[in-house]
Amino acid sequence: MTDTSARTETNLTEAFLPEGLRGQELEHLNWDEYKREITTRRPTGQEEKEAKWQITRGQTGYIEEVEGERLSTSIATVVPIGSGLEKQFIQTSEEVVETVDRAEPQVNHILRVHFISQILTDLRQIQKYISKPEAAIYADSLLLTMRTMDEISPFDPFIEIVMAFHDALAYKNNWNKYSPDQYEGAYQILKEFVQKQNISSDTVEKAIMRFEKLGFETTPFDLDMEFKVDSEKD
Amino acid sequence: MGTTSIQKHFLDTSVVRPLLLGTDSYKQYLKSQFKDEPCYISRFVQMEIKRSFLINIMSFYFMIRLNTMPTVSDALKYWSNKFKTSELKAIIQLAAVILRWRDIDFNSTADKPKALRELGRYIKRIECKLRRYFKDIGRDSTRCARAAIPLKADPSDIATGFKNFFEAFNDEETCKTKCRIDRFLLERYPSEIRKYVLYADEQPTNNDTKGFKKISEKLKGLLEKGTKLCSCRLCESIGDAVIALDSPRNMILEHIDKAFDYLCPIIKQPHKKHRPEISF
Repeated sequence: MTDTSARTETNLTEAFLPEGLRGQELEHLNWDEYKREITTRRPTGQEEKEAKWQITRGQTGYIEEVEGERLSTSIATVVPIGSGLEKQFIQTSEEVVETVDRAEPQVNHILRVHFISQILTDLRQIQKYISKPEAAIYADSLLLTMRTMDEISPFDPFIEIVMAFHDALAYKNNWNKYSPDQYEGAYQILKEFVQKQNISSDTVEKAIMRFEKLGFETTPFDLDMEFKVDSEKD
Repeated sequence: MGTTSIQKHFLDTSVVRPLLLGTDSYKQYLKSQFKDEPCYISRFVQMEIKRSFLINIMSFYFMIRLNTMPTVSDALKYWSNKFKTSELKAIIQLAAVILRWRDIDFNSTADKPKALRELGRYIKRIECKLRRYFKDIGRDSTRCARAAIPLKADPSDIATGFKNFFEAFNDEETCKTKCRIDRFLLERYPSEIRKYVLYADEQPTNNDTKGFKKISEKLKGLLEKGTKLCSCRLCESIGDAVIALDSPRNMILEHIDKAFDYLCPIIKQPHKKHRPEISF
């Protein structure tokens, strides 16, 4: 946990949106239209460093900055207004500190339910279009919602379940190789686990293994061939 | 009416590794070999994967985390210049695949925390699969204490969990007080080990026998010097012999390594050698 005593809160609408849009409900905006990188220069001793903030879809709220004498760079995370979420990544001159998610479990649960309802809808839809070009519409929506969820609640244990499923779908466009039955199985798993209030590491592991048993490869990344050659010499 | 017996498969490290880390086509090949029949591993095999893969990729996690490495790119360059073995080079190749695919900017200081998060999650997932994906053979003959060390890493503080695991895993002195590899080798299987040593002496040295002869040489030293030679380092060099001896005789030992072609017949252990991934 990092001391955040020197904190400034900047309203997202005031800071980064075009004037005509200020004060509007952010969640109704087309975020792709306003997706951009914002670069800020701040003094860090003798030199200046850049802090890049990217506003993407689903990020509604204010930017929280953390400043301090030892900071060489500060990186802001956009968090939902009133959610109680407070998390920052802070790179100090001595170490990188990942602060813990201090969100109440109840807040995490509300966020999970919000995003999972969209994911469940897309999982039902994609089953109708397997092997058809239209499947891409729902695959895109699924992957985007999961990534948004990850950006907003990166330390929620439930996100480990979601991102395991995400990796199984996204890597090398594997979303295209799964059957309607498998997607229905994924639907049932997520529906079951999102209802759990407390997600322990055992719960996470059980959910991941349920995806694996359905045939979803949650660690699809390949290891270098050179290593394989080496292992075979034993 | 005849009864059909289900074939059980006991997987060596050389098969478990590609099942976890191999290409999709090779994984499918291996899975097709076992059909839907149950696949088992032992705690010792788990330990070998932890030692040869998890510890290395965790080390790279901490390499990125260092504040002297402003970006992922700096960590990749440093690792690549310092560590030349194919095993260690493969670690950064894999890490680069994972991170690039998740849109991590290797040259951005801002992307470092995200890179750590992604890599941390991957490591935890592999460790989880190692424990839960395969069936346990239900006995722990070597009582390898390293194999029993749990990886507990909370999403909000993965680094501490990794460090605790790493330190316990490398605490060889403590592990040695708990392990029973000495009894396993010298009290339970001394005659089999003598057979290995004698047979190895009769074999010519070539590419096929090289691995087996290397293991037998170590076992010969063990027979001569006794329990004082038992250590985690010894297990690293005779791992295939330990796995062969510990294999349930009612299962087929599935392997890729050539050494098992010699280790298994001597002890009448059913075994099957699979095509290496390079042949795909």
